[in-house]
Amino acid sequence: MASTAVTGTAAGRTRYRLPQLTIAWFTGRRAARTGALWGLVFGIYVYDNAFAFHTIAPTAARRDSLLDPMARNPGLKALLGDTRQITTLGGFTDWRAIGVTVLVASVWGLMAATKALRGEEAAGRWELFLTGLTTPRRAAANALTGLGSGVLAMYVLTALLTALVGARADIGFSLGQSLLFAAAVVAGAAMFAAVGAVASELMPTRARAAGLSAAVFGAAFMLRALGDASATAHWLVYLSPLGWVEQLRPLTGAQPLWLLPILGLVTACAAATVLLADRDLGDSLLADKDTARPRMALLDSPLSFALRMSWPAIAVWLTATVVAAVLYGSLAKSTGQAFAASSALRKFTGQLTHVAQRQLQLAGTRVFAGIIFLILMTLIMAYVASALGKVREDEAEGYLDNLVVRSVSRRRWLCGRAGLIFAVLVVAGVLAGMAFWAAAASQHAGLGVHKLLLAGINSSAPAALLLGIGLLALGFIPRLTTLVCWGILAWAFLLDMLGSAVKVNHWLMDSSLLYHPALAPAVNPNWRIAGTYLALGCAAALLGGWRFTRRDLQSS
Amino acid sequence: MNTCGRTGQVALRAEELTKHYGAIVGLEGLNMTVTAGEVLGYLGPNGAGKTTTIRLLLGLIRPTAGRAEIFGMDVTDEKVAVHARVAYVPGEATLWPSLTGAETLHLLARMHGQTDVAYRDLLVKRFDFDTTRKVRAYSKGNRQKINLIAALATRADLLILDEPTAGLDPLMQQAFRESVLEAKGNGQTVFLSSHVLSEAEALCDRIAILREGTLAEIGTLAQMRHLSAVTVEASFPNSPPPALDKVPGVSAVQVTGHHLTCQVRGPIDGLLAVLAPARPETLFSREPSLEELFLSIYGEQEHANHGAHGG
Repeated sequence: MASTAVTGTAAGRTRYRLPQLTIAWFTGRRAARTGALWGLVFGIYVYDNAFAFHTIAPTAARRDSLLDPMARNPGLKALLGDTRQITTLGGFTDWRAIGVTVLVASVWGLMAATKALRGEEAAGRWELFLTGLTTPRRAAANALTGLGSGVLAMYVLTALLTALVGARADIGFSLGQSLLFAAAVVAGAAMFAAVGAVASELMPTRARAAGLSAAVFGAAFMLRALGDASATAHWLVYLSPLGWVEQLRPLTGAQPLWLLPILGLVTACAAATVLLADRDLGDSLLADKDTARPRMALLDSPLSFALRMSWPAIAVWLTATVVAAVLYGSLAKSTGQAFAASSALRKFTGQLTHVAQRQLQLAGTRVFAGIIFLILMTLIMAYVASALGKVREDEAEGYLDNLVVRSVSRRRWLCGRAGLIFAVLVVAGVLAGMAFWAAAASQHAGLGVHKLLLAGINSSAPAALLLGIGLLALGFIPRLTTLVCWGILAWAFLLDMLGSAVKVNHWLMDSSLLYHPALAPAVNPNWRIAGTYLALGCAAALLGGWRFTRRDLQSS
Repeated sequence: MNTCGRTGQVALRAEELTKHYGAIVGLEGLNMTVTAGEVLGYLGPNGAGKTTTIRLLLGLIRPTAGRAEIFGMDVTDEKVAVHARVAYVPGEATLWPSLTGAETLHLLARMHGQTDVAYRDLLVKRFDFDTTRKVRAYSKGNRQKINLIAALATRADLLILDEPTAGLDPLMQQAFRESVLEAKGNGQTVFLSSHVLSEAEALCDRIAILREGTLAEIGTLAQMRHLSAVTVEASFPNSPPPALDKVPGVSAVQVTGHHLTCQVRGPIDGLLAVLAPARPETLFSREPSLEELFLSIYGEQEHANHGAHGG
C-alpha cells in the first residue's frame, strides 16, 4: 500500500485570526439567529398592540368606559402586570406588549444559556473547545459574549420595529421611548440568560440547570403577579426581576434607573459564571454522587421505565399547572366582580377571547376563568411539545436502540410513550380544573366543581391534537419533530394574541389549535370540537405510529 | 443450558442484502450464510458497511433490496422474535447517565426477556466491573463493559458484536476473548465485527472482508491463505538468481545484497527450481497473517483503482 509523506512548514499553515474568540462566534451565531427571529416577532406584536388599542377603544369615551375599570382589575394585573395608565396608548402597550414578550424572552434566555454552557459540555463538545487556545474561564466568558450577541440581535430588531411603528402619526412614540421599550422587552432575555448561565455551573446536567433557572423564573413571575394583584403587598414587585422590568414604564413616564438592578443582576450572574467555570470538566458545584444504591423500581417495562425517567419533568409541568390555576383561581372572585361591573369591559373581554364574544351574558368570573384556561391550554401544549422533543431525542441520541434491539417492539415503545404523554395531559387538565376550583371556592367565587372539571378536560383537547400531529411528524419527518411541535404552539399563541386584538383572516385563525375550542367555563365546552380534535389526534398518531414502525431509525 | 441452534442449522442468512442512502451505497448485494455455532469475523475499514449490515440484521434500518433472516425468521418482519434470540453489543453505547451500572444491567436484562443471573455475576467479576457507579461516572471502557456483560449474560443463540473491545484495556480484551470462546463452546453463534485483526484471527472460524459495501472475501483463514501469496525469504553466498519476477507466480521481488524477499502465489516448486542452483544458505517461507491478507486485499483494490483511473 502506498503511503505519502507530508512535510509541514510553518509557512504552509493557515492562521486564523482571534482563535480565542472561537466559542463566542460559535455560540453567538446560533444565539443571534434565534434572538433576531424573536426580535422580529416582538416587533410585529408591538404593532399589533398599537393597532389593537385604536380598534378596541377608538374614542376617549370608549377608553374611559372600557379600559378604566381594567386598571383596578387584580386578575388582569396578575396576568400581565401593572395596568396603570392603561387608558393611554403607551400604558396599554406597556402592559400588554411587555407583559407577554418579557415572558417569552425570559424563557428564550434561560434555554439558550443552559444549552450553550451545560448542554455543550454534556455533549462533549466543550472538551474539544477547551483543548484549544482558551481556559475554562475564558471559554465561559466567550459563551456569555455569544449569548450577549443573541440578546443584542433581539434588541436591535425589537427597537427598529418599535421605532418604525412609533413613527406613525397616530402612535407617536419617540425614539428614546422605543429604545427603552426594546430594552424592557429584552431585559428578561438578558437576566434569565445570565441566571441560566449560573445554573449551568451549579448543576450537573442541562435538564437540571434548565429546571433551576425555570424555578427562579417561576418565583420571579409569582412575586410579580402577587405584588401587582395585591394592594397590601405591592412591595413584592420590587423583589422580582420581572417587577423591575415592569417599573421601567418606557412609554408612560420612563424610569430608566430601574435598568440598574437589571444590569446589576446580569453583571453579578456573568461574573459568578466566569468564577465558577474554573472547575474540572464535567463537574458542577452541586454535583451528584457518582455512586448510588441500586433502585430497581420501574425498570421492568418500557412504559414503567419511561415513567421513571420522565417523572421529574412531569412533576414540574403538573406543579406549574396547579400553581398557575391556584394563583388565578384565588383572584377569580375579585376579577369576576370587576368584569361584572362593566358591560363595556365584558365586551372587551369578548374581543380578547374572540370565541366568547357571543356569550357575554355569562358571569365575569367565568369569563376570567375562561381566559385562564386558555393560558392553561397553552401550558399543557407546551408540556406535549417538550415531551415529544424528548421522545425524538431518545431516538436521535441512540437510547432507543438499546431497547428495540431487545424484545421490545417499536410499536410497544411508542404506545407507552404516547400513552404516558396523553395520560399526563389529561391529568394536567383535571388538576387544573380542581386546583382552580379549590382556590376559587376558598374565595366563595361560586364556580361549581363540575364545570371547572369539564373546563379542565376541555383544555386538554388542543394538546391531544398536538400530540397526534407530533407523532405524525415523528413517523414521517423525525428530524423536524421538535420544530413542528414548538412551531405549531408558537403559531397558535401568536395568532391568538394577534386575533384577540385585530381582525385576522379567518383561514389563518382556523390554523390555530387554540382558536376552535370553547373557552370553558366562560361557555359550555364544545364536545363536538373537543371530540374532533381527539379523533384527528388519534388518526394522526396512528398514521405516524404506523410509519414509525416501518422506517429506519434516524440518529441525530 | 444450551438453547442454541443445532449445529449445521443456518443461524444467519443474507440474500442480496442491499442498503442505499440516497445516492450513497451502504451495502450492495450481500450474500452470506453463517451456520449455528460458528464465529464469523466481519472485517472492513471505516465506511465499508459493517455497521450498516448489523443495523439491517437488527431491523433498525430496512433494506433497499434483498433480505436477511436469523434462525429462519425474517429480520424485518419478525423483529421481536429475532431479537429474543439475539444479543447485541454496539461499538459506542449510549446509556442512561443517571442509572447505576446495576440498574442498567437489570433494565437491559428485563428488556431482553431473559438472562443468566449467576453467569452475569461471574462476568461482573471477570470484567472487574463496579456496578454501584452511575453511568455518567464510567469511563468509555467501563460503559462498554455494561454492554458486553448484558449481552453475554443473556446466553442468546446469536451474539452480534460491533467493535466490542473498543475502549477495553488488554486485560479486559483477554477477558472478552475468554467469554467469546465460552459462548462458542456453549454452541452460540458469534458475528464479530472488529478492527482488531489479531482478535479476529484468534477467535473466528471464518472471516468475511467487506470492501466499499460489497463482500470482497469470505472463508476460513486457511482458505484465504491458500488463495493468497506466501512470503519467501532466502539468503545466498553470492547474489540471488536474476529475473526472478519472470518465474510464474512470483511477485514483489526485493533483493538486498545477498538477501532475497519475494511473494509466491500458487505452487512454489517453480521458484525452488530456480533458487536451488544458487545454493541458498537459508530459506524461509511463511503464510501471511490476517493483517497482511487484509492489507493485500485493499492494496489490490487500490492498485486496481489507480489502474482504472490511470488507464
